Amino acid sequence: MNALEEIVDDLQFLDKLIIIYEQGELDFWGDRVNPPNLSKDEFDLVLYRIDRADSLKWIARESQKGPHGKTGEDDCFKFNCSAEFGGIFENETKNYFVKGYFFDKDDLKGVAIQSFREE
Amino acid sequence: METIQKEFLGEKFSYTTEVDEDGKGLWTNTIDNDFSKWLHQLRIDNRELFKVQYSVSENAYKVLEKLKERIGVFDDSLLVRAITITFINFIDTRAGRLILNKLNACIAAGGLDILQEGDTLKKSLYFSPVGIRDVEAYANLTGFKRSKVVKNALYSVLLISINSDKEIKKFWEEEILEQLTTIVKAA
Repeated sequence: MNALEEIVDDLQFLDKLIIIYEQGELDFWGDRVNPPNLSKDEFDLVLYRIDRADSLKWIARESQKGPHGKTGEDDCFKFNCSAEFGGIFENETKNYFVKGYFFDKDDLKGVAIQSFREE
Repeated sequence: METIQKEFLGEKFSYTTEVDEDGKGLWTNTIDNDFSKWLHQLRIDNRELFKVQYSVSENAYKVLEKLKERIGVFDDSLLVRAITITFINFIDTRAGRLILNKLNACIAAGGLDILQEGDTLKKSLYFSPVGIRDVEAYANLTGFKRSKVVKNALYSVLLISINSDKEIKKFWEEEILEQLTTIVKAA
């Protein structure tokens, strides 16, 4: 078990994702027009505004694109989440969809975010 | 590999990267560093793109002046920039959610009225390349204009700073003040 795996070993999924995102490597697939994928800068802000990963599912990964496409875990996570934006103006809650996978298989180094869009 | 054009502040940043089956481009740390360098150059070439205008009432400005004295800063822009970044990255997150909910109750009871009294002063500031990325991302997610992003952050923080609620006061003293001071001193 490497150092990153030890840190996230007992954590719930969302906390694990945040730690790996902060401390590990990142492959972020963005800049798609249709359907529009949001950017890494926007993911940075949303990640710290969500309380839980709703409808979390693990599905077999199909794409092998990217620097860790061949070495990443076989399954992708996907979930929906809500982020609240507040302040002196009326609070607003927005819903997002996130899909990705951790890499490498059996040697955790980072996370690939394949989809991040507003629902 | 394909070349993608990312629009930012009305300008185009081009990068060559791997594209997947769905047309998504891979954004790597190397591309992120190139984007930061491009933004630094853009700020040198056209600083006005990084300018954000905002308005503040006379009363709110008096509270800001007191805060400047307390933190030991003489420049409005420096403090308002620090307030905006602290609000986006810390206060308006899970960490500050309870405090913002309490603040909403205070606003509903008319707590914001006194801050909004007085003539309106027009101000402007220039964000750094790092700061403008946060402001743009927040503006894109909320649909706010950049001026509204700054106003939301500024008035929220000023309202927190004068609030007498025990929990809000504790959050202000122990969390926000420290972060603002650190950012201002690092600038």
